[in-house]
Amino acid sequence: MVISPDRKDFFAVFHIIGRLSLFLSLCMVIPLGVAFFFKESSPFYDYLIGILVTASVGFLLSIVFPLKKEVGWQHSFFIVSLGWLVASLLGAVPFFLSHHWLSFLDAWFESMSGFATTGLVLVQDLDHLAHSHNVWRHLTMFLGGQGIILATISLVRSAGSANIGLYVSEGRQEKIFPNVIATARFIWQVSFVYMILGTTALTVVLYSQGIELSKSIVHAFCLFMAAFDTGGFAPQAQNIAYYHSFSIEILTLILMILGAMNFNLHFWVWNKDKREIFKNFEVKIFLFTILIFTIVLYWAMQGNPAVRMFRKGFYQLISAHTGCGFTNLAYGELDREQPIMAAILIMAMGIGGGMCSTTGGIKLLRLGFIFKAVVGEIKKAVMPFKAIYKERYHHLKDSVIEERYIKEAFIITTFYVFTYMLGGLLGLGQGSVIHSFFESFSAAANVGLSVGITNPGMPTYLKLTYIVQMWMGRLEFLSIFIALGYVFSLFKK
Amino acid sequence: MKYVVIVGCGQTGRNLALELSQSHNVVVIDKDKQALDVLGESFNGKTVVGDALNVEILESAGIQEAHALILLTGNDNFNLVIGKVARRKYGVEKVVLQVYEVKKKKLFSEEGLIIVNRTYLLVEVFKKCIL
Amino acid sequence: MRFLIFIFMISVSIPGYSQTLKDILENFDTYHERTVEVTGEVIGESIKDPGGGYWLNILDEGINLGIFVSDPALIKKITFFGSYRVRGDKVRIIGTFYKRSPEHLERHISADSLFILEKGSARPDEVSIEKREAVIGLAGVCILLWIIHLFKLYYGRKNKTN
Repeated sequence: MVISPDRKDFFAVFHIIGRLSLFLSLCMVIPLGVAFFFKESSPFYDYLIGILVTASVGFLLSIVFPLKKEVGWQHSFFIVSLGWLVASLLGAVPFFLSHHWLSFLDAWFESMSGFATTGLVLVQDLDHLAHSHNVWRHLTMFLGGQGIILATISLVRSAGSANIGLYVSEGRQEKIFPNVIATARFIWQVSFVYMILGTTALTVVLYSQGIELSKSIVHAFCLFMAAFDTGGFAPQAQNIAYYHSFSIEILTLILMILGAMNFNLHFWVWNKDKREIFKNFEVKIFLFTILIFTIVLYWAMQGNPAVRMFRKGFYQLISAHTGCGFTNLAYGELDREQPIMAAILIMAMGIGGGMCSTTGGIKLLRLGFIFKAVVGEIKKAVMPFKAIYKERYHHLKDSVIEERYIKEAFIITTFYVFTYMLGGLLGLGQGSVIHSFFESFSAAANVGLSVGITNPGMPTYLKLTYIVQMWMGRLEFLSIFIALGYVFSLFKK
Repeated sequence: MKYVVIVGCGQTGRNLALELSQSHNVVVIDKDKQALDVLGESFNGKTVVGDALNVEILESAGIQEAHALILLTGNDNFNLVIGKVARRKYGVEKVVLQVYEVKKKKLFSEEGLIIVNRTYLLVEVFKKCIL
Repeated sequence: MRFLIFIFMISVSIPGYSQTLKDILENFDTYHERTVEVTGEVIGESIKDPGGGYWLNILDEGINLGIFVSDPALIKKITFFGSYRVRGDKVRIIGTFYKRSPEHLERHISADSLFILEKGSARPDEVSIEKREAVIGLAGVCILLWIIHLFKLYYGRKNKTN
């Protein structure tokens, strides 16, 4: 039976989008407050307008589309897909008004880059951007990152035994708390604690370097949100290179890794068994891939002092693998790297971090399943004909890899790879072949490292391509396809 | 927010689960998967398919964290056994059981278990309605 | 001393002698460990390096680079650092460019001398008439919609209790 939506379903979806818009307008009060504190008059008005436009849209949607039906899981896909789209468009309004972006398209690009925790930028003259605008840029990453964790955990839970195959659907065993509200609360609590610790540590370092206290705090907040939500925006044009600080690099490194960890893992380590870190499947895969990449990195960077290999090579590698996108390289340094470096960064970006985290890419668990599936097939070939064999793995608890997990892993991986490739092909002509693919991987895996192809002068079609890639990569395709499916079925009637 | 484990997903169990899950952490255990499916896709809690007499199943339902255990297996003896285990081994604060044969009342109350007997309940409710 | 400065200024003003940051960073191998002369706006602030010395960040036509300055006297010359409301001092820096160096590991210029070419100034922060009008107009629209929304909620509740 195909679930076909009716008017009431669409009303429910749009109504919720309306509520989301109202929430978004509340969030804009934060940059408004920052503008007030720093006496930034023009940006203050930009945010007033932003709040009024967003709130008006919110009220309008709630009025025109009253809630007549209960919101269920089948609506979630639509809500999530549309939500990101609407949020990025509304979030772009203050940016556009600031005149730091060439066009509304550029502003939308930046906004989507924020909500999708990517980090590719089209901003102009970032060093002269007001504090309030910078805070909003980073806040979008925080909202997008926290939002995706919530969405993943609740979507996965609700999809339940439906054969959409979202991997953890079988046992709601791994869920943090049975009640989704309790789970959401836990996520916020953990994020809040990390925020306090991270921001304080960053503030201390920045202040000790001679940066004025109020600016230190603003920058610390921004860097925290960009690091923990593996986004990659930074308040200055040189990204992390601006600070010239080993301490900042170490702190952001820790935060990036924390942010790329599966939130279920955070929960397990906090509340249950700390040794899970050593037993966990995803952690093992991450260590494995990092080891391989580091070995290649070491070989490629021969002749460099060890500290440089760490600060420039390893830092960049972790930044790529966790999907953050921070860089401490100067202009022209990344794109002229040797091809072998570009290659490992591309692969690291493509793989990404843990499931149920803010990272992007194919994700570690899926990679692990694919690997085990291949190993399993080989073993099966050697075994007696009728033996039923399933590979085992340990993720929070010992489990068996079911066929449908493998199916899901392959399907989603295919989508990602296809998107990576398509974006790469579309970008040919803007740079070398390897650069074009680099940029495409960066967009679709929500990383944010750039070899220079992303710039205000790039062709419109490519800007749109990357926007779509960032959007699809963030939502892992399925939500969007299901939403599109619903729309088509409506037209079919 | 309390952590509640419900054993038995019949009509009563299901209604309890749906109601409690709105504001508490609820886990429902039942041997029959189809009984659990009736809870629906949007059930805001966890389900465990298995026999609650099995300690592993109880633990996977998180009985160690449970504040309350509600036993609706339909079988008084099972309810008693699981209830005892919950109190003695896991120290669950509140264990509530639905009991058919009130003769066993003494046994239950010794363990600190809370009994609910349908007939008795109905009698009390009807009394209140009339008087 | 003055004679030396005179000769220096003459040699420095010979065309083709100074480079843009873009030049240098696109040809980093050529300029590695060579004396360069760049101009740019100082942005942000001076940042203390834990190992001694300071960092400056300059902006030259959209390209940034870090400048390492060991002599604090040079830093003291700067009055304005670029930010939202300030256009920073335009400086000329002469020093050695490193694509990478054993002490500082990153691509930078180690400054030997720093001259202020142009003092910084304030950047405008005016609110245009259009924005003010937009706020008033939108506020009106928004409040209207809010009232309608509240009414709908109120009537919705009334109907439910009926």
